[in-house]
Amino acid sequence: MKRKEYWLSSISKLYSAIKTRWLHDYIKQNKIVVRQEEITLQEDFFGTYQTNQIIITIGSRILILKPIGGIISGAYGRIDIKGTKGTINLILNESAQWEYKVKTPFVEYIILDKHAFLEIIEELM
Amino acid sequence: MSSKRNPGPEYPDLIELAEWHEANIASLKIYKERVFEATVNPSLTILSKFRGLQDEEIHETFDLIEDEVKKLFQFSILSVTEGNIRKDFFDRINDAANKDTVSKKYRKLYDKAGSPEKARVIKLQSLLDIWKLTFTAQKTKDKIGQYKTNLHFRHWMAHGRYYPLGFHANYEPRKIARECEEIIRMIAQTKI
Repeated sequence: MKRKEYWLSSISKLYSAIKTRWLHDYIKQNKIVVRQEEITLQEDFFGTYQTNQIIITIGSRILILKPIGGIISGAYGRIDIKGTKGTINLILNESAQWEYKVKTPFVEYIILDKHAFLEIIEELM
Repeated sequence: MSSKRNPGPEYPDLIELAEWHEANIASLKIYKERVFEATVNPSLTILSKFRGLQDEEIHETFDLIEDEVKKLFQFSILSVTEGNIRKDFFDRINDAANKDTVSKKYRKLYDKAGSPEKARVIKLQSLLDIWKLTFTAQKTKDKIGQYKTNLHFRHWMAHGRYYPLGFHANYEPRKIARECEEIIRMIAQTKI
């Protein structure tokens, strides 16, 4: 798979996991609302292209997962999760897994799963 | 006191320090290239710190590191220079054979301090003021003056940068090392 396709399909797969597995129960119970918005990215290597960001709403609090770019160092793409309490970077590895950045206090990347994602929501909101 | 010593971890040579700074910067540039290479080839191993960066972020990150490395070497060069000046102070007061003007003025300062412990914390500015009065050539006075100005930066670094720095002659470590080396050499050669 070409790099741009890998990046874009990985974004879709992540969003799908969030909506249909990780947050599914909360969405069903109307505790969380997730909506998708189209955004335009421009990168020298890929040109101008469309992808999506998702906006997670819990009550009056909002969290945005925004794709930053597919051409980044040491990974195949980055999405920033931005909440009122800060931003956490997700990067895409070569095994189609998303890793999130933590400081312990040194920078490390840990594989993202449902448990970690729920913790991130709690931390950033 | 000789202006040329064998470089070592405890008492490094100023010119060596400036060259080590340049070696650090050259190494950083090579590593920066590797991080850029990792945008094209993401499987390339790089430190976690540098993963996930876009081009502009890579530039910004390395600019910060280069600036910090530069500061550390500037600080190191100024501190080692201070060490040389203070060592010369004790060399002069400890050798009774030294009858030159500076040694006499140094002994007065030492006596006023009252003890070796207190003499160790005599303000460097006081020693430099004696040298500024001793040297007659304007060029030499200017070098001492420049060193005194740089001491604001040295103190700012030594005390953890908790206050605004103000003016900082942000010269390359090579230039600072050359000027400081010259001061140390002139001091060593001066037996007025």
